[in-house]
Amino acid sequence: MMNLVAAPVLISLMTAVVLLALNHRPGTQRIVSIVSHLLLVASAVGLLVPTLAGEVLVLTLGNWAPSVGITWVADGLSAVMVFFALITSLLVLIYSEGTFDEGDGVRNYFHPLHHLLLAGVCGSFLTGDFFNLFVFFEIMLLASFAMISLGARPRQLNLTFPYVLVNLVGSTLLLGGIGAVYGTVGTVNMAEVSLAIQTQELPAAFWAGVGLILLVFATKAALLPLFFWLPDAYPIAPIAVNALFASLLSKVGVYTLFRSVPLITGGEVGVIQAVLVVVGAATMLIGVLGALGRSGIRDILSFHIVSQVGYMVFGLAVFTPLAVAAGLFYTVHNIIVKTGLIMAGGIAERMGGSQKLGVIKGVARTHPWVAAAFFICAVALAGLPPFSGFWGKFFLAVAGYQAGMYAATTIAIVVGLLTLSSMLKIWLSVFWGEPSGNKEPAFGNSKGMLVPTLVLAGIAVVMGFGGGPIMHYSMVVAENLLAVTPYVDGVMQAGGISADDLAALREGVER
Amino acid sequence: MLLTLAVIIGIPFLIGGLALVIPRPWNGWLALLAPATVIALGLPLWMEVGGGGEILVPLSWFPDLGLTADLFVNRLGAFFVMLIGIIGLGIVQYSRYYLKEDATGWFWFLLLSFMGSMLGIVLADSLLLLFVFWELTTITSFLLIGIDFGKEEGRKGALQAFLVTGVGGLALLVGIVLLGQLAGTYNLTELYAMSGEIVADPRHTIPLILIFLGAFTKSAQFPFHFWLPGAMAAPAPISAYLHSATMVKAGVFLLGRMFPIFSEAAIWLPTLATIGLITFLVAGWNAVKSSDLKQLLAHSTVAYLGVLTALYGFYARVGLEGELVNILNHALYKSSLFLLIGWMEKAMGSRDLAILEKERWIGREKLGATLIGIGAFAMIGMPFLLGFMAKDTFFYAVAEGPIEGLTLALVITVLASTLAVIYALKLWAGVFFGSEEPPTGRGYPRNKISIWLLVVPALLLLPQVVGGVIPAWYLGQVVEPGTTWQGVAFWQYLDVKLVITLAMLVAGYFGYRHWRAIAATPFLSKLPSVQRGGEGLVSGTLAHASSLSRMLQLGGHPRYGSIILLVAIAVVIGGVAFSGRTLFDHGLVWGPNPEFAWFPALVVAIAAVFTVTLRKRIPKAVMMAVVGYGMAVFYVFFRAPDLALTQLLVETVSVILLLLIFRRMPELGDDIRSVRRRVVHGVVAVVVGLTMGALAWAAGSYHVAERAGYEQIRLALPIAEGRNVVNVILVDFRGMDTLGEIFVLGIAAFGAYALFRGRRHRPAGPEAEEVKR
Repeated sequence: MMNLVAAPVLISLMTAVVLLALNHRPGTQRIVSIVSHLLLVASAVGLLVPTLAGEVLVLTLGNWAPSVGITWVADGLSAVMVFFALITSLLVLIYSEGTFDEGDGVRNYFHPLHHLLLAGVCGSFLTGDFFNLFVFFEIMLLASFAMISLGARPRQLNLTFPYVLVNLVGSTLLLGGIGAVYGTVGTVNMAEVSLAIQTQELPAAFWAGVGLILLVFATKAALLPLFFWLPDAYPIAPIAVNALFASLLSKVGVYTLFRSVPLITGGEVGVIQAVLVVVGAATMLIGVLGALGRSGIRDILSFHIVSQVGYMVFGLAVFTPLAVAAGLFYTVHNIIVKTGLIMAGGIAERMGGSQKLGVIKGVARTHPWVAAAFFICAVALAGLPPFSGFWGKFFLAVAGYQAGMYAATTIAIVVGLLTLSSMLKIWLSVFWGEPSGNKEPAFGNSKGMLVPTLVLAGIAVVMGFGGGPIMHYSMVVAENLLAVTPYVDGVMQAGGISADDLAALREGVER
Repeated sequence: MLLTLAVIIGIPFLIGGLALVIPRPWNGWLALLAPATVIALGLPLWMEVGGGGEILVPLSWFPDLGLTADLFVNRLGAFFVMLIGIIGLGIVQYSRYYLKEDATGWFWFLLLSFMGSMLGIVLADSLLLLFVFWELTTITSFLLIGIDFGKEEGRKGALQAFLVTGVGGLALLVGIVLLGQLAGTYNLTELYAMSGEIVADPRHTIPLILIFLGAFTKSAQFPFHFWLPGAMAAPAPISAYLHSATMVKAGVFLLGRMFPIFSEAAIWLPTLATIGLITFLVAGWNAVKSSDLKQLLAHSTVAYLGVLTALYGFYARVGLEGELVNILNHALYKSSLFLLIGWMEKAMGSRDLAILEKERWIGREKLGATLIGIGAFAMIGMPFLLGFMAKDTFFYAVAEGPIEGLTLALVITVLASTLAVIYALKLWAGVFFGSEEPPTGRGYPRNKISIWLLVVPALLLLPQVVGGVIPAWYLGQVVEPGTTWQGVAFWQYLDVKLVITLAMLVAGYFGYRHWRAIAATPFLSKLPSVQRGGEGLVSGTLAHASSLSRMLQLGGHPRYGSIILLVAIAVVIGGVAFSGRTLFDHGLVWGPNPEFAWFPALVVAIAAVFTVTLRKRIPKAVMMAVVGYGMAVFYVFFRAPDLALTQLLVETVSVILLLLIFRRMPELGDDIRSVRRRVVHGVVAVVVGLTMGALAWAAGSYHVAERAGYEQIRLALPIAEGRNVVNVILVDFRGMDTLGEIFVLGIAAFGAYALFRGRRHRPAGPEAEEVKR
């Protein structure tokens, strides 16, 4: 049972290696890639079922105790993130086939890189160890560097360079922060660090290190003022890569904040809360204004990621179970909906040959199903009922007002309207109007692209109507997350060989 | 009961979904089934609660959070169910013949989804549920206004409607949340029970104002009245159904739902009366000015919505008398008129008074003239029509009883009602009683126009006529049970209102004769337009957003790098401040401290400076190697020979690789940064270096009770059976990290390969246009 925790990472790593070997047999490569992705989803379901019941699954690698080796932990939060990341990326994988040109060399590299990226993402979700997290960040980053530059157009390389640079600087800072933490508490295990915070008085260097770690998480999440790397780099990447990054990468940053802030604060926020509230509110506002000012389909959608990360972090910042549950609901919803939008917008972009607004018009008449998928995801993104985004927004508003954070909560509400405006900007110029500018109408009808997009829109609808049970589980996860002890106890009681066993062992030998 | 209500709300959605997959014209037939079912199920509901009484159906939704999706039927709700069903039936039938092949599956889907959403609003007990359906009507309305999205007019109107009602929706949401927090429940019936406590709490004002905002935007009240005429780009049946009979009444309905909670609130009456009467007057004026008859109807709809809003204000004093008569009256005559304008466009080829005014259509279109006449007279409130009873109740409410003297409210009411006479006459007399013989061939030939385009409005107008002749039975049994109506015919209502009415008719007639002159009055036509203000706000926001968006991303990676590094410094300082201690309060001793350590340290520092400042690649690489070898020396000092060896190896390999690569690369150009910028970058770099160095020193010199790595050292030999602890850590204790790093290197190699291969595969120059951008 515990070994299942390793399944998502190991399956995707092994798949990536096999896919590399199959690089010259594209047909087989696709089949292996998708079949193994289905396996991944199955393993994620296996993790989801027990953890949503409140269980914490801990795997001590090599049977070393948390203080000695590496532990991987699946609790509700991890399992939910893994599950939705895998569902969405499976749909992106199916969709991706249509986004590459025939005979394009790029497509053969996409599949192995996709699985390597997944290994990094799932590992980040599942590891319970700061240094191991750094390693998975590196896997994720290197894979993303390779993916974002697939095709290697000069302009693309230009605009993705800041992405590479900022992330490398981030890695260095993260390493520095982890070093400071390790040097002061003598462990990089998250649960042990959390325990140390609760039981010891720690020196300044420790807290400075924690600050650096959080800074890097905030950079990954693209929070203000550290989001610059995102809005230029994402839209220039290939469509499928953009969809994948939008659904996975910044959410890894958000996840790490959700994971680490309760562990670090041990349930009592204070300064961190004030910082997170201000940063969250500013991020959602600046992000949406930035998106409103853009004039390309994926330009707008990518800038929006920044704004929505602000929402999620605001949910965390309020720090009540309801708010954190709402933030979590919003995060899951955003993974689905943002991917759906980029996929639907990507179909229009493929047909028009450019993502600039005004190039292609009238898609709603020529391809109503593409338009329907886009529209549902767009209004869901803006937080209109009865679609998925509403519940995140509504419960966030309830929790925010309950906590007395009137200004920040009101900003969150107003941002919803600005989001709607920017979505309508795309809708009016691309989907409405007399049809024109469509160079390849066949794309809009290709089932491989349309079906995954519609599935995502369908999930947005289901999550809207089925808000009750999802919110129920979000509350379970959020309560456990804020209580901290279930996670820490789960890890500390995992067993494994530690130096204490040494004494017992010696005794046994002597006897 | 749950099943009945669920079917009422659900059946339109279900049939709408089916209409997407069933081909035309069968989906049109199927669509009739939705309103028919609603009527069939709604009628028994009305019978049950029409005379008073309530049905509450509990429905669990978010059990953990104490939120329900309870449904609730009372007189107002059941009335609206019937209204939505009956007018919906007419609209569906009319649409089938009016839109013909334009009535696609998508049209039916949207129209019926709208119908279902409206039914959801009127049957919800939970305000949360009400809000969900409320926003769904906004969404479906947006798509229906823009159903003909090839036209600029439709797109603009739809956008405006969406944004205005969207703002109101958000206000309503916040209002509901705050009200829920104040009262501890989102359910209407529970709120009704505690209305006294809510009104006694001064915090009720903000939620109430926000809820008002929601109602006012939806019902197009001043100053949000401009979106409704813009929404008239939709085809006639949609205008009739959404923007006259039902959706815009959702705002009024909301006031009706709030009435039992807030009617005692201090701001209830003044706000509603003021806004409602201003809307009545301003919209009436706009209607007088309109030449396009559909615009005229739109403005007159806004005017009547003002009446309904004001009425809810006055009800706080006079009681809910005549509540449903007014809603029913307007829904019936106005939707019929919209449908008749749709017919007019087909039959006469125009709906512009500038053209029609000259022509004499009475001779050719007698049935149409009769029907539009009934509608127009209902608008004026002439005897024998339901409109008369409605107007009577309105006057009664405004005067707060029998008219005893002039009040400002009464003056505005009379003035605005006179305007109503003017535009009603424009609509009827203006179209049918011109002087010239109308041309043939401008509209469709008569046999191409279905008779249903007249039959549906005729059926909808029928209750208007009946209502005037036998009001006591009709009103008492069907519309207003529980209210004692004075008598059976209009003459029993006559008092001072007769005088006022006659004066209004005379003034209105003269006004009609000179409406163009009135409309051209320079003073009145220069009223500031709220719409322009709103549009200015939107375009201003967009312009600022676009410059902000550009500004945010200026500067490229040098700036991004500076920002992240400066934030890092801030975070370190913040972390230190948070701890309440200093970095070195535990002393400075770190490891063995050989006296000559300053020498390699100096070499490393100098080489680092050269690495940055040199302008040639190969010397840079060499200097970097010096830094690396210097680090190896430190590993030796710290008695970590394998680390030192590894470091030496890595440095050697990378310097060789770099030299090989750099031979093939062009030389670096001159530093093009300004002096100021170089200084800034230099300062950032030095400060970051010092900060990170201090942090490393502080962390390294801090001695924890159990040193880092202590357990690994003890376990390495006995359990892991390795003599070299570093090796055991790398391949056993933390083997997963090593595996991960191996993958990192592998991906780097593969990524570089893919980068070059991908380049080679690229066909020549496909993205030239994009590069230029």
